[in-house]
Amino acid sequence: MPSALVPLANITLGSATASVTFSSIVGTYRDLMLVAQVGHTVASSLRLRANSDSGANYSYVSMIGTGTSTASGGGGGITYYPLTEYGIQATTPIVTSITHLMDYSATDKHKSLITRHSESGYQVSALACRWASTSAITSLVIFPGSSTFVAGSTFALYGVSA
Amino acid sequence: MSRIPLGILASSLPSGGNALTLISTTILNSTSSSVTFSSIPATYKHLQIRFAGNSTTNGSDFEIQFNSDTATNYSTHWLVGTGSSVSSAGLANQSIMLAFGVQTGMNTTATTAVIVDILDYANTNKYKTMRSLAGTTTTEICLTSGSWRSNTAVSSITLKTANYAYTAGSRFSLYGVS
Repeated sequence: MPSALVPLANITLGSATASVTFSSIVGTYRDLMLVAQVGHTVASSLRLRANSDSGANYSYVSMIGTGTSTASGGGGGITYYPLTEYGIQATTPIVTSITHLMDYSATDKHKSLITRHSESGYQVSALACRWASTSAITSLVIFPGSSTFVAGSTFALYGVSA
Repeated sequence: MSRIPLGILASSLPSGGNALTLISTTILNSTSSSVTFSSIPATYKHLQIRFAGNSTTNGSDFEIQFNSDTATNYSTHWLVGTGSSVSSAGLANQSIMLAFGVQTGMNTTATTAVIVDILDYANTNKYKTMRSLAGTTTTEICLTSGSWRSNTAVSSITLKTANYAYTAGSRFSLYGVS
């Protein structure tokens, strides 16, 4: 029986890069899973956009622990899926983010994701986010808020079978 | 910017082996207060449940029972963020485990996403444990861990919501992890 976890793309950055885009995503899977291990050249949050939509169509709720405190945030009307609440501090690719986009190709529901983020020595967090669109997701762009990914950052996109 | 056209890359990537196998998917045609996966084969190492759906009424939770055991053999602990605060608590000696809905719960409009990992489900030498990551944008994000005090292999899983129901279109998927 074929595996239900299908690798779709796996890239490692050879130099500092402003963003990574996965395009022409087929709609034959149930969910998508994005595994990223990154560092930023300047401290900034990690963000994701669907189908190049930069409109104020995203919302989220978050939970963060820093080693000395906890916090929870949330809000709507933002222009991206936030994958972190606080900015990534690491300038080497040691920060892990695992994101699940559920029912990404459904055309009768908004697109929800849940994500966990780990940056040893700084923060651990989990977020639930929504893109208020019933369009199937056919492209994803992941990018730092106001920075670039450092060389050596890796990104793997998987399809989870229906 | 690095742009990856998946139609080209995917064909050159090695296959993922059989690490994750879809066992069953249920998509509700009408509202239902529970979904059961039964006759689960014992041939995998772990199980994973993936859910995306809504509830008929705001505030529903996402509950788990194994092997139709409705006795008070379950415990759950959680860490939850509501958008304004973070809290942690637990419940012991319950008739269910909670994967979501420890605070404000599911929603009629914003879809809830739940991923549950059940470890060593077929092992007859230990109690069964699960952990979940779940969230709804407008209500809460939570991490839960649960235990079922039984050495019996898990052969069925009931996913239910107290008092209310899952909406039509809600999707429940069960995967085996090799």
